[in-house]
Amino acid sequence: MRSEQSWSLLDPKPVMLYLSNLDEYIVYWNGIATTHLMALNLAMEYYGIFPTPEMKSAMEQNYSKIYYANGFDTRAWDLKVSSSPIYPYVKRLLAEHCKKVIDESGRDITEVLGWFDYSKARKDTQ
Amino acid sequence: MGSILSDIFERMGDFETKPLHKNHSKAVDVVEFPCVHRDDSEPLSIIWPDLKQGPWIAGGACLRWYQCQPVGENDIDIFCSSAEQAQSIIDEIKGYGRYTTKYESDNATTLSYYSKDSNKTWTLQVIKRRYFTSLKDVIDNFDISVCQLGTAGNDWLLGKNTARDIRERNLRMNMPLQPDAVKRLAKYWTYGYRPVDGLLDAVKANPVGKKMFQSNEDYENAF
Repeated sequence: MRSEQSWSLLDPKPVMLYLSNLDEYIVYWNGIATTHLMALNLAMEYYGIFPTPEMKSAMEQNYSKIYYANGFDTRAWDLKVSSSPIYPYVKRLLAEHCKKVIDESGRDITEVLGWFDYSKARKDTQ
Repeated sequence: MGSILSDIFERMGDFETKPLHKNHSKAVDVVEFPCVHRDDSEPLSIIWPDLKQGPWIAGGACLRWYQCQPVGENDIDIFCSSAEQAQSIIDEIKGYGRYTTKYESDNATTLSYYSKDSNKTWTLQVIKRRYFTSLKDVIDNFDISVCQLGTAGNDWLLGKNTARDIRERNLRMNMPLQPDAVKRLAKYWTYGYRPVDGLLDAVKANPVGKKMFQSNEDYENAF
């Protein structure tokens, strides 16, 4: 288990990790690993900004690319990743937690956007 | 049952039968344009853009073509010089008889157009909220640099930072921020463009950027 995953169980906000070998960002949020883009879109839904079909495709492709390059440090989810869209699944796992944290933040959209600022990402040690 | 049917037939009699458009059910004479992906030539052959007088294509569809990709699921946004031009394009598209209306508002008419010869479908959005004097006038209205490109089929017109920001995958927004900026920021971030230094701070500092339009969604989505 990566330390970011443990940290994300303590910090209610998403914990970002930069994967230097992939030049990609992933997020651990309440112990759940996902891509930066999925977490961002999930948060934006609470402000009425919903992903379009093209955005959903872009998210799925990005997730798949990171997953198959071992960005999540596991290949245990092959069946899930290959068989169905991941975004609705991530949404189901995180929706309740995400709503609670956003409500507690005072619902300022720019503050929530700031959670996903790349400058806040930790860097992997690879 | 009988009374319902007779009622319907009676009402049908009230409708005036319009003559079919000259292109109804016909295939389109497809012309290829150097700035348009070959797969998307058919709708462009109907729209028939014109650099001087419009209509012009700009924004997301052009961003795809510029990178040698077909539009895919993206809309083709059509910008016009007048209400008459916009209506003429809508009539022309509908004239082939292979369309459904996705949205209709004062801001835009969005049609799904189906090809006769293939199973392809395109979403064509004719912008009606505002009319433009030139292609430059159109691209100056986009607030995201990678969207500031447009074409009439044979030439590209790009904004100051557009080419470099496409190549470097930069997400840069022109200041001052327009309402709904956060929505477009999230959209292009999801497409893989990364905010340039200072952009998130600028959005945070600017209350206009987080103001949401509710009613102008189709028009706003064009930018």
